[in-house]
Amino acid sequence: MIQCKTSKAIGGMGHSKKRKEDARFIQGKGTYVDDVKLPGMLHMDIVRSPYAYAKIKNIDASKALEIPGVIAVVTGKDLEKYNLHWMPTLMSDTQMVLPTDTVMYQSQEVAAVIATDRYIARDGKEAVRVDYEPMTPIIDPFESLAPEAPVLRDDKEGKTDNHIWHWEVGDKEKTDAIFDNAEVTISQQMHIPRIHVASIETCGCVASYNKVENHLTMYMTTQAPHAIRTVIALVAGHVGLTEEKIRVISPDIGGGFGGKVPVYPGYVIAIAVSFLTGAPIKWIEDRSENLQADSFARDYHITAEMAGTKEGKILATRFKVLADHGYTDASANPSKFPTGLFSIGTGSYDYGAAYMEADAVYTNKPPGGVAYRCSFRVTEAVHAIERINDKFAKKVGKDPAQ
Amino acid sequence: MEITLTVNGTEHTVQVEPRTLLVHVIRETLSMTGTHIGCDTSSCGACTILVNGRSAKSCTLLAVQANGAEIITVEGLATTEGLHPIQEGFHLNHALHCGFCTPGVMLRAVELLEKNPNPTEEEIRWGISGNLCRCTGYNNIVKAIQWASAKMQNKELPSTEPEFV
Amino acid sequence: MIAENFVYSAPTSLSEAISLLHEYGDDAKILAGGHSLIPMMKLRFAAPTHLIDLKDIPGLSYVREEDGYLKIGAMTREVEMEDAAVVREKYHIFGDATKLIADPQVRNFGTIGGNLAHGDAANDHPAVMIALGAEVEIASQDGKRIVPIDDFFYGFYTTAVQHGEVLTEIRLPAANGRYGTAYHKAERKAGDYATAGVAVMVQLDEQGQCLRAGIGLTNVNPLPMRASRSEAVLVGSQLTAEVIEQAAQMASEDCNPSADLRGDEDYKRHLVKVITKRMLHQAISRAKK
Repeated sequence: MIQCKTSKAIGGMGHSKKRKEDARFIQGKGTYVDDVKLPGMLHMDIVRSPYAYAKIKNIDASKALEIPGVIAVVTGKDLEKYNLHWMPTLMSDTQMVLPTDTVMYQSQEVAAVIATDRYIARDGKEAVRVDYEPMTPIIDPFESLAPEAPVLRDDKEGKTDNHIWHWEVGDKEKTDAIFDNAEVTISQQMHIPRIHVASIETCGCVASYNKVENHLTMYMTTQAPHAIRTVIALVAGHVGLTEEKIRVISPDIGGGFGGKVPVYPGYVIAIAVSFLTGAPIKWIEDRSENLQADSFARDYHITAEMAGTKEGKILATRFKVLADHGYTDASANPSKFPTGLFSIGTGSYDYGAAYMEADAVYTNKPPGGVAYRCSFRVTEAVHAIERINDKFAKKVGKDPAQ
Repeated sequence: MEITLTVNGTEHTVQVEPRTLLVHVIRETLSMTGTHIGCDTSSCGACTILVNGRSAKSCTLLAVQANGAEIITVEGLATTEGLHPIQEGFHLNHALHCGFCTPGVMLRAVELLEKNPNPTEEEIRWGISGNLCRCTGYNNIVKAIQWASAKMQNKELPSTEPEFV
Repeated sequence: MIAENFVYSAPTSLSEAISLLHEYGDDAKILAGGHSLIPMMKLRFAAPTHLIDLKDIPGLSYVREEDGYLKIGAMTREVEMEDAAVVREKYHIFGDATKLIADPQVRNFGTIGGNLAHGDAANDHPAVMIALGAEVEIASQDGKRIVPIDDFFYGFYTTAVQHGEVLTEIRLPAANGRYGTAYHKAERKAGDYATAGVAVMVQLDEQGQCLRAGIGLTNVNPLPMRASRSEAVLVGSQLTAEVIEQAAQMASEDCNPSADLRGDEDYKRHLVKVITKRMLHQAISRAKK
């Protein structure tokens, strides 16, 4: 028998290491972002759209501004004056900070209320009146690709459809030939639905801009402080916030699972308001906002096929994927599809050939396709490949494990 | 409204609105930020504290409902003698990862062990059913509570070394 | 999540609470634990202008057998019910049910009266009280009146408790002879509302014939529901496997579940049948002990 444990005196292998961070966590002395309190800090709450797709006709903040303690109500038109109303995503797409005329998904940020405490900010949010002209949303990616579908991203010059990108890998010709001549072929359609990471701590930040030193300190619950700093500089570089003037502090973080990689509009609004007022701005989303408006994982429609012999030898596989990325392509890494989908999809079995293609499409939903727990299209690929393997085995009358 | 709370042995008189949640008084007025807000709707248990010895979800209690109450938060678990056995148990058994749910689970466990000093694994699992750990470390949380149970009864302590499968 | 503001009072007598209800009018709500009401207020689904907290009124929290009834004070917390010796000994159904209601922290504050007066067919106590044949005592300026549980639920979030009234007590015929009860619900996760739940009470004579039977159903009907046809089949019969099967079948036919995230109609009917059968067997075996 192999002894895979060193002696107690030596320690190391087979012995648990005690964590250094426990001391603060078990005594309530951790610092999560909502624990950060700065002098003169103001609170922000966000007015959100009840519609998935609508024109904004008017925003009336007068009632909100009458509430003692409400300092300001910020809209897309206000940010537009500073060219801060759009920002890039990690996939080089663009995303609204606050809309100037159209909302693209339910619960999208429409205006921000700044107040002296979070209760007053919440009351201010309730008092902002927004007139919408609802339009028919597209929530099905197949309908979104139909020729008669309206172009959702009409902000993009020359855009004539809702297609985002096409990606393919493998030997199409060889794969198709194997399928054409195979004794047994099977096909399975599957939908891997949207899921939300639901980390136990919601997202939030404290943006603190120091006017005298022209320096921004961002406390935020983020998994990607460096990428975030770059994005902030891309959004706000033109008003003087270049990368070296930004410090992102990611304190203790109550779970992320990929949902704390993206830049959410709330962060940018908080920065903009701190930049304009000079006061630190705290924004902490509540659970409803977190579940409705943060980025989602998955939402993939996959048609997976397998070809083989009557004896049960697998010869080839073919995937066609439709990825519902919501109204903007905000997933975290362009290499995801080749690394995950193809490598995992072809890694477990001995194929003669394989071909996979994927198309991403816009719909009236929050961003989709953000990683969740080793997602990188791995989960989707494993699910698809094992399901078609089971189906193939059943068809040829074998145990799937053989 | 003016209310008085005794938190971890210290009496505080504070002004609140009727709608002010107990968790906000603890976190913001009294600056004890070890009690967390996770779900906001009494589902996750991150805001669990003890109110007159009973575990309670402080995001679903109005501060005025707790007027006059004795409250224990995570900051009140350790004494000058050292950590509470439940805190030791969590540390030694790796029962936490991000730490956000930890204070709530520990306070829930304190009441559980008070009522039932020697719970079975099933009783522990039912006992913490109001606390979510999104890092899903439940197995070690159960072990930590078992460890604390043994320690509080001066019994032989279970091993905290990892198991080889 | 933050509620709209309101005026809070904590009266120290029932008469004071009732006169406050009259003074404040329709938008006043009673706070009896608050673990359903406060989340609704935080989500801004409810915005009462006044909250009248019953916590400081003495004499509303008790569980005792008296005059042939089990009497439960409206402000009795779920945990007090769970721990009461008389309940543990004779009324096993409350042990079954309270374990499945939300979670320990919520049960430390939620009250039995609040659970009923909330008027939600997804709550568990309504079906339990239907099975047990409970009556509800309601106090007003004119004194107290008794409402049988079958006349108590009016509709979604509305009950026989009218404006200016307070639910003060729930009473049910005391356990007597060979008496057995049981409750179970199918839930997606610990603490969830029922996908379907069934409460059962049976009383048998010495020969095993059924003298009394009660079956209440949770969350498979717009209102908490009594499975009357099933009860009729049981009473006067020997509770054989065939009779139980028939009663369970009828319960699944008579309920009116709606499809939702917890399951479709057929699935819920199937659950009602299976759980009714199991709970009848459970209640009978408890009755025979």
